[in-house]
Amino acid sequence: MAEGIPAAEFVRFADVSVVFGRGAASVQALQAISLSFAKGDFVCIVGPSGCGKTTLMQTLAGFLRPSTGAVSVDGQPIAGPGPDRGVVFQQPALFPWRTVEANAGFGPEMRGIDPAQRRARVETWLARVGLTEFRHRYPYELSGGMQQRLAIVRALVNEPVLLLMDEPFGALDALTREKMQEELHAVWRTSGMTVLFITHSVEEAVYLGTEVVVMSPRPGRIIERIAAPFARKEGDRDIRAIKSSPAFVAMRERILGLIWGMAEG
Amino acid sequence: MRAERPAKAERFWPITLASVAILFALWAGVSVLGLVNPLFLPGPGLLFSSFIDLLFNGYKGYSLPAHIGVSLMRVALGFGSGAIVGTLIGLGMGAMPLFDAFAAPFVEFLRPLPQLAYLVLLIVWFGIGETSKIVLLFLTALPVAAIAARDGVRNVPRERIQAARALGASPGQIFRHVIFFSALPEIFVGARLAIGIVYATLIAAEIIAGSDGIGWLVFDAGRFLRSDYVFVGVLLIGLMGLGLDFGLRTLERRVVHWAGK
Amino acid sequence: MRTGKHFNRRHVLAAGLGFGAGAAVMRSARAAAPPEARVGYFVETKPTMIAKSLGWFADAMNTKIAWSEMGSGAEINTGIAAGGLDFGLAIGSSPVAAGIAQGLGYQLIGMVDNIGPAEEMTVRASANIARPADFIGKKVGTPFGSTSHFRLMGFLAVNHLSQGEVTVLDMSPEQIVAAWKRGDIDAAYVWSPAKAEILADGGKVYETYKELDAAGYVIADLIVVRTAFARRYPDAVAGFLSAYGKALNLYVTDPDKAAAIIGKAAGVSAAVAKANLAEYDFVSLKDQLSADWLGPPGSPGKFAEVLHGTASFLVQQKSIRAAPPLAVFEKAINTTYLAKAVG
Repeated sequence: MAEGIPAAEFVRFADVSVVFGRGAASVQALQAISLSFAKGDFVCIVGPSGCGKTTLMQTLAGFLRPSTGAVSVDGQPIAGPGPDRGVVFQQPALFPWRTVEANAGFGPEMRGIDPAQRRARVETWLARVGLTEFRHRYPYELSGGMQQRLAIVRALVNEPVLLLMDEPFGALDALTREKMQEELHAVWRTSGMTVLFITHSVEEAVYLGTEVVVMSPRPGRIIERIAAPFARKEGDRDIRAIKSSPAFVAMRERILGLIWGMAEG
Repeated sequence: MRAERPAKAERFWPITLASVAILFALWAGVSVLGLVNPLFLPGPGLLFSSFIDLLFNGYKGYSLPAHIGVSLMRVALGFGSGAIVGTLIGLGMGAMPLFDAFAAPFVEFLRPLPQLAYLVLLIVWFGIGETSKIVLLFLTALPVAAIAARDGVRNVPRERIQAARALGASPGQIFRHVIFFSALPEIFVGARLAIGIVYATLIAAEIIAGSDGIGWLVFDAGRFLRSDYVFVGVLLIGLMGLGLDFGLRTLERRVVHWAGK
Repeated sequence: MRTGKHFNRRHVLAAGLGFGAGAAVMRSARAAAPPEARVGYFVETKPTMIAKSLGWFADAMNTKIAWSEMGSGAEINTGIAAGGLDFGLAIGSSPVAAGIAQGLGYQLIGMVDNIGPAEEMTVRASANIARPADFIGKKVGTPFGSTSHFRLMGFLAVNHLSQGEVTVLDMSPEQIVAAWKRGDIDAAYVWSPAKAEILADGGKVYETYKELDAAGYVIADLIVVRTAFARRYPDAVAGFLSAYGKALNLYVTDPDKAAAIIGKAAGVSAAVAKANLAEYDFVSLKDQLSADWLGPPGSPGKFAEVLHGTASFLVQQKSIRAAPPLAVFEKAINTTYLAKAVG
């Protein structure tokens, strides 16, 4: 970590605004967003459609330059996409002409990382998510859940300091979704990675996040930041037990109330 | 999605077979009953004997395989060069808006131009040898391939490119490893379209100072109502076209096995 | 091709109407005028154009004429075989020989011209072609299926040149001009205006027609009529020929006036028309009845042999499947209408 950067400002959005279009037809997607979080945090962003969640993530990924303000990671301003920030989308966005193995190793291959090291990393991660036996298959031969696991593995093989996920489980069925939540949680817990996670599901956000950021639309801004204790809870990790505990339900309902309030107002 | 389900054409092959059989029966019936002047519709027997005659005695100085061979050579060179150059141009057009603005007028102008309109110009520019024939087929294949490749590049899912960028791929790597492969299914579709059109243009190409080629054979035989040769030639052209399309489809299934899945 | 399509659509309908009308009036119609005559013709500088543009054909036949411009003699053959044409005007002897051999159901009723030197070999002056052997290794362009092609093949046969030694290329007249200008061909066997253009562009005449005419490779432009039409309307057919005779007579007596009319109809200057006309030997109707040409009614002249020879040659060329015996060609020549027209 660079000197002089407070630990709580590992990722920093400083007064970030994004305006699409010009003149009368312009739309303010984000208004003066200031948000920082520490290394190792799992930050979930929730909010109704149009609140700018994805836009916010895109400025951090480097796909989008803020109209005003700045985004930095570890004190370094974002100038464009980079392998230090892995990205996972709702659609797996895999390379269908590459095998599972070759998809997973895409990042290191492009970056010219030594093939032996690349193979080792790919093997480790594929084994971890149970894709080893499918390594010579093609993405279209995998189920939706397995495709999304591969997309996550592809990002992780690059060993990013930050993982950006834009509704990664949004297209999965409920059962697969919960299994993926458990797996992602396990990966985060053991790796200590920093994650920015965008979701529509408040339950998912409360379960996975160390912090839940609630945004409101038109223009997109942060209305509340809520620390969530469940991700770092030790001991029994039974997902159903956690999600049905009174504390969990209370927090979930509180956040849902905030979002419903916006919809009504 | 994962369960292999045969395509419609494969499941309904008996209907395809029946349609061919009905057509054949109609043809044979009409000609056996003498309902049509054989000059207009030669019967199956005459066609077969004419085919054998062409096979053993050739046509106007060249054997039948030589006519077919020279036509295939022209199609291969004209289509091959047109598809490759067209694809390269189309990839450039899709990737570089400036180049697109530069090349689009030529490609769009060339595409609907009737080949017969500029046959004489081709002779003036390229002479009466193989060059003008191949250039005609080249010019026919090029715009089709270019437009398919351009659209292929334009249709690459944005998230696929973003994923590659986030994984650390350089712009050059993204083009070679992501955009090119993403466009490949459409490039193949364009190639199949192009070979169909090139095939239809073969006769036009071979009437440029011709004296060989299966397209010229059909054209020449038609001059004196040698309809038996015309039919044999047309059937051969059709079968060759099916064969080429089948070959291209097989190649397509192997190379872009992921397409449509 | 454009005109072919045009005439197809219109004349399928016309054929139907003609048939209906013919059936209605039955036998009594034998001497009457046809409701319509459908003529396939070429736009060219020949006296036929006088009779066409001044309406003489229609007047002499006492009917209206549907004119269809054709691209080749083969198109006339197809048109008559399909029942969409009644007359073929100035169709080449090669397609006529093919048509008779194929039993297309038409009769040869008259001639327009003996082509003679009008279609001739033109060689590039710089190519040093003086003898038949000089053609070895040279490229010669000609429109396949035409009378010129037939002559050229005759030239090779008479001089024992094979198609391996001389490269014969199938080219339309405008392609010949283009290839000549590029220097891609050394010689061409073709008619004017293509012939005149390449002669003016470093070409010279290499005379073959006398030798070839003597060897039986006579070529001519002819008039044919659909047999069924001629049987029903013999007076109209005779009228058609007399209209042509009248036009030919104008050309013979006043060539300048004729050239002016023809040039206007063909879209060229009177001077060009006059020069083109001078290349052809327009055989008078009376001479056509001599034994040298079509012969008097019931006694076919030498031209039957020309047609038979042409057909035999076309069989060798695989242009047609088989040639019938001479008698079939003799039978296809019917000069009764011609005799009537001459009077």
